[in-house]
Amino acid sequence: MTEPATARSDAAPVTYGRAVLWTAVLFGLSWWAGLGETHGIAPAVLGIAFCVLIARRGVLRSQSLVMAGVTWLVLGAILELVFLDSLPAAPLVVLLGVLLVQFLAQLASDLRAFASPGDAVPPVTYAVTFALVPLLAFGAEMFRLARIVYSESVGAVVSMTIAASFLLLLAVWWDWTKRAFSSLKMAVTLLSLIGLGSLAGTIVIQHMPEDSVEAHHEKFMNGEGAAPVNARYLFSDPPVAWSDAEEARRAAMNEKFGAGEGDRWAKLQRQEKARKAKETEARAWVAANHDALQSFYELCESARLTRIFKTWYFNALLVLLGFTVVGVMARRWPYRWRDSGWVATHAGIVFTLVCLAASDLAVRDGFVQLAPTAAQGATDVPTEARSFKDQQDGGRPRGFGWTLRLVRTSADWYQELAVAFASEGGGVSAQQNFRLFPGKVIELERPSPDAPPRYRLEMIEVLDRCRTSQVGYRRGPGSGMTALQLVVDEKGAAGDHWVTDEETSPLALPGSQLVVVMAKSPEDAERALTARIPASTGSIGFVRVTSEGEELARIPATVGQSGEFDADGRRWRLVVSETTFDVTRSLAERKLPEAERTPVEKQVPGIGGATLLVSADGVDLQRANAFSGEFDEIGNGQMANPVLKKAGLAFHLDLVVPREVRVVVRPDDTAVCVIEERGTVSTPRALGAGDVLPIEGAAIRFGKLVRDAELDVTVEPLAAESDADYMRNGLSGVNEQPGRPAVRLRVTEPGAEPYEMWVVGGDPWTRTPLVESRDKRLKMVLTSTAESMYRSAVQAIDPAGNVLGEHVVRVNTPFRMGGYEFYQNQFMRPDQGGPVAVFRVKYDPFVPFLYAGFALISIGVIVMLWFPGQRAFKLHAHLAGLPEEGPKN
Amino acid sequence: MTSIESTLHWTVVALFALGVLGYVAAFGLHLASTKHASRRRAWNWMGLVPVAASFLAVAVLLLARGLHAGSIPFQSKYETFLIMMAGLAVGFVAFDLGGGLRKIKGWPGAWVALFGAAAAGTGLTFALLSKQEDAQALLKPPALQTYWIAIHTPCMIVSYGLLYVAVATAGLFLVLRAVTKRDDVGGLDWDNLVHSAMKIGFPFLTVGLFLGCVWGQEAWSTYWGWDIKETWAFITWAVFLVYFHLRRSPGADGVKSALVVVLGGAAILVTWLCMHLLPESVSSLHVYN
Repeated sequence: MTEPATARSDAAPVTYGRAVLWTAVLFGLSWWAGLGETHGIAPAVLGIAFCVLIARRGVLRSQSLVMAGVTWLVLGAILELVFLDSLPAAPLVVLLGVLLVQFLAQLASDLRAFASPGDAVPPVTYAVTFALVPLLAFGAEMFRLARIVYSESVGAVVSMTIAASFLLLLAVWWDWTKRAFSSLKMAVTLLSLIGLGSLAGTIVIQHMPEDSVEAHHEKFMNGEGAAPVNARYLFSDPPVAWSDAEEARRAAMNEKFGAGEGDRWAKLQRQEKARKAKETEARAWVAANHDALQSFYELCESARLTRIFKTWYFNALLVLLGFTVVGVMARRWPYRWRDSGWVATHAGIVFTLVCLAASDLAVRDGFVQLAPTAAQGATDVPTEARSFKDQQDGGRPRGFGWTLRLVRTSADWYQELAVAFASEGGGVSAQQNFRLFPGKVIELERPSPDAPPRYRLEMIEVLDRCRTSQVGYRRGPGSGMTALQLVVDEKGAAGDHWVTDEETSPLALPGSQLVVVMAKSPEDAERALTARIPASTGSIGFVRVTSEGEELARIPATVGQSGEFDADGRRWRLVVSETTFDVTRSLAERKLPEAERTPVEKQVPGIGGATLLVSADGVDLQRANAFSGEFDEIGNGQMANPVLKKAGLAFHLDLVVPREVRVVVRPDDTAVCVIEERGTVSTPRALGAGDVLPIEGAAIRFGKLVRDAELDVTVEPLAAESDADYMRNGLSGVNEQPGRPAVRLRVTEPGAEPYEMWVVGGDPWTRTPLVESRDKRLKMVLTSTAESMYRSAVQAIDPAGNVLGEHVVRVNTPFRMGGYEFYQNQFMRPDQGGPVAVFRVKYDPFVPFLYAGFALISIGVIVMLWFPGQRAFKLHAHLAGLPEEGPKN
Repeated sequence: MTSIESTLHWTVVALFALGVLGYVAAFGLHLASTKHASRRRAWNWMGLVPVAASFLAVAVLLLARGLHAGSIPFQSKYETFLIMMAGLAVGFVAFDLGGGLRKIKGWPGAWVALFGAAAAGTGLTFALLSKQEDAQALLKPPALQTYWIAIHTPCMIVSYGLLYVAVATAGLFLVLRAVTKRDDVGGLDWDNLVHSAMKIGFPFLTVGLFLGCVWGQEAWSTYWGWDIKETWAFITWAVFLVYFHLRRSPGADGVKSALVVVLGGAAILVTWLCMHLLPESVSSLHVYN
């Protein structure tokens, strides 16, 4: 690089190779020095000595030495990451210090031209631009701070003083300023600093508008802590354990689903394990380095690096870039035709920067969350919104001037056919999901890679939506399964409920349960008619107290029941104070007055819960919870009473429904029904088709009995709902989309004629039937794996109640009204607090102008670089004393 | 991955390998021959034909994937590798036939063959690396159910492929210069050569970047969110802007601007493949797993 003479050192230049060698010596020595306990003095002395040495040789400002320093800095940073925790940071600090000294020396040399009298305008050099631009950006930040830190009047004075002093500085050297802000060097400087600032914004975890300070802090500590661990495993994952069972599964999947499928599964499984191992290691690293991370966090916060894209100093860089481009454009005047691409590009950049600033000032941004009028009452979420909280304005509410109403909302789901092989022991040996695709053929199970497949599934027909007029069972060729139809007449749950002898879970009813026993022999049937619920059963079963797995007491779970036990050197007393069959329901009803709550006898058994009052000598009365099923762990974990937990006590609920309606199907196809209440069994009553079961509060009839049952479905395809129909049906109160997805399969299994069957799916929160191949080895189900599309019908209503406009929102087709745009970006499922649609609200009148700016830049770049005769550069080559370039680039 | 796709993928690998071999052979013949340069030109077709064919093979592979999955195959990391290879192949062909290489005075075919070998070797590396990626097509979430994915993604990734021609040229120059200690290795104007390769790819990057903004605005109302992928795409763009300006600032030489191009190549790799390593990836929308 041939810099102007003032910027060069006089001594013989150092070659890059030699400079790398010198710096290597400095790096090695400061590494060694950093290991000693010198509080950084030894490395600092080394750095100073190095600077003195190179200054004495007259090569302090040598470019080769700077390049060598940067090279070692990069190498050192990589080494630091690879040898995490074991490499002292001293070499990097020393190198940075030396580079700073070199930069300052160059700057001092370049600034001499500003001090010397004379008419010559000082040259624009990188040392000056790289010093000046951050200084200006820093000034902008100081300007902002002055207005925040001081009172209004003092703040105005201080900030104006700061601004004036910068303006004065630039005015004194106006000729230089003009030249600098129209120079390529300034452009390079600004682009580099903007790039570095952006880089910092991707390394330092940024504040999101929705994050609280605590949430961001946690994200910061964990995220920054994970980075070095991720870097360590850049090229090789941490070793993971691989069990025999997993290996067997891999082999089974290779055999059943095709060579390579098991290997693929294993690879993904290993990746997942490696990810978890890295997470664990990262957590340990964060814990071990908490203090260092915390001070890094505080540093980033105080320098506002966690909000860098909103800082004044970063935006000052963009403003300066705008000024520079304007300066360059002014300096290049007058334009010729061959400059058109260049002019369009640069005018586009200025225009875009101005529009960005305008857009930033004008934008309104927030969210509204609405429930559909077509499913009113399903949630507490309102169905209409007149305003939203503007995040750009500190969350202040802002009205639309009209009302947004959600009529209907729903989601479509990707459906996949899950195919599993039943294993000998009754479980599943291998399972794989397949996308639905008409004509797709799935070949399964090859004893060896060259052998023909033993099973073949062909997807003959795939329906997105269909009406299944009857999902039931019919007699098939010798499946051996028995199915019983129960006809539910209840409002809201009308339809068939099928029970098979392979799915034996009881049907929960208010205060009781219905159990169907398909007896294999007359003895089985007789046994099923005798008592099996202990007479001592409480209203919801038994509360069990354990300590280290050992049972201490078992008490009927009825309100008022009490018991005593010894533990932790004390005698404890326990009283049951509350019981429920359905924790979720009880929680939901907690706000209601006692008289309006559903009594436990009327509750439908689900997850049961009992509240217990526990006391002992020297221990205050304590409250504990015992839950059944999957909540047991939570009850004794995060919800446990700390005092009782410390005493080693755990409380469990063995949910037993004290009242049971039992339908017993005998091998001779006759059926009887008994009711058992705590060991007392009623006289058996014969049941025939159409008979109503003796259940209080539920209308269930005994339907038909099917031996050798197989699934029987008649399927009628439904046309897709057009947007107009979607809106119309929504307005008439339909929210759920009608119908269910289905696939028709042609199944070829060993030693049998090919046959066809339907597999019917549904929304993820509905139960989809499991289907089996006739030989019972394949189990298939249609599952919803992910959302594929949201759809929401919305209306804008004016204060008089007139519809101003309506629209069906999907991705890419937002609702536009009064300058506002509504984008749906979330759908909450009915089983997760929905149906609810979340809309992003945006008001930004400058978007079309921004698009124009983007277009101008894009067209300009294309014209400038691709069209013959265009020139990209003109002025600067001339200024540097080089011959002016012709039209070539 | 179906067996057709697997076969096509190995075809791409083989074609890039053939491209490397063809160009290396041509390079050897150029060095050994005493014929006039313009009469040796035909030898380079040994490398150019397989590279051009590899573009066709990648295109057929993408088409097969699209038809098989019933959607636009521009989403998974594996698919971006494919588009990258297509961009690299077509970029090199454009560079050779229409761009800088044919315009070099006296047409020093040996060097052209060496560029070809470097570009085909880069393609071969990507083709082999992509075999490590999971080839299963992904399910598109609602936000990606849009035609923009068919416009923005290939525009970006093709630009990466095209720019990698320039990165390969600049890298080759830096290596040759370090070995020979000469700025005009082979008597070539390397600075112009790198620039003519840059000219092919840079407009794609620019247009792709802005199309991404438009997509963001149309699909989720944010034209720019300083998401890490967006930020790094911008950093990449800024590095190449620095290249164009640095190259013509007073006193600049080809070495520094070539270094910036190589730096830009690194920035492309970070933008494309290393997003998951950045701490800020915890809140990103665009990270491959």
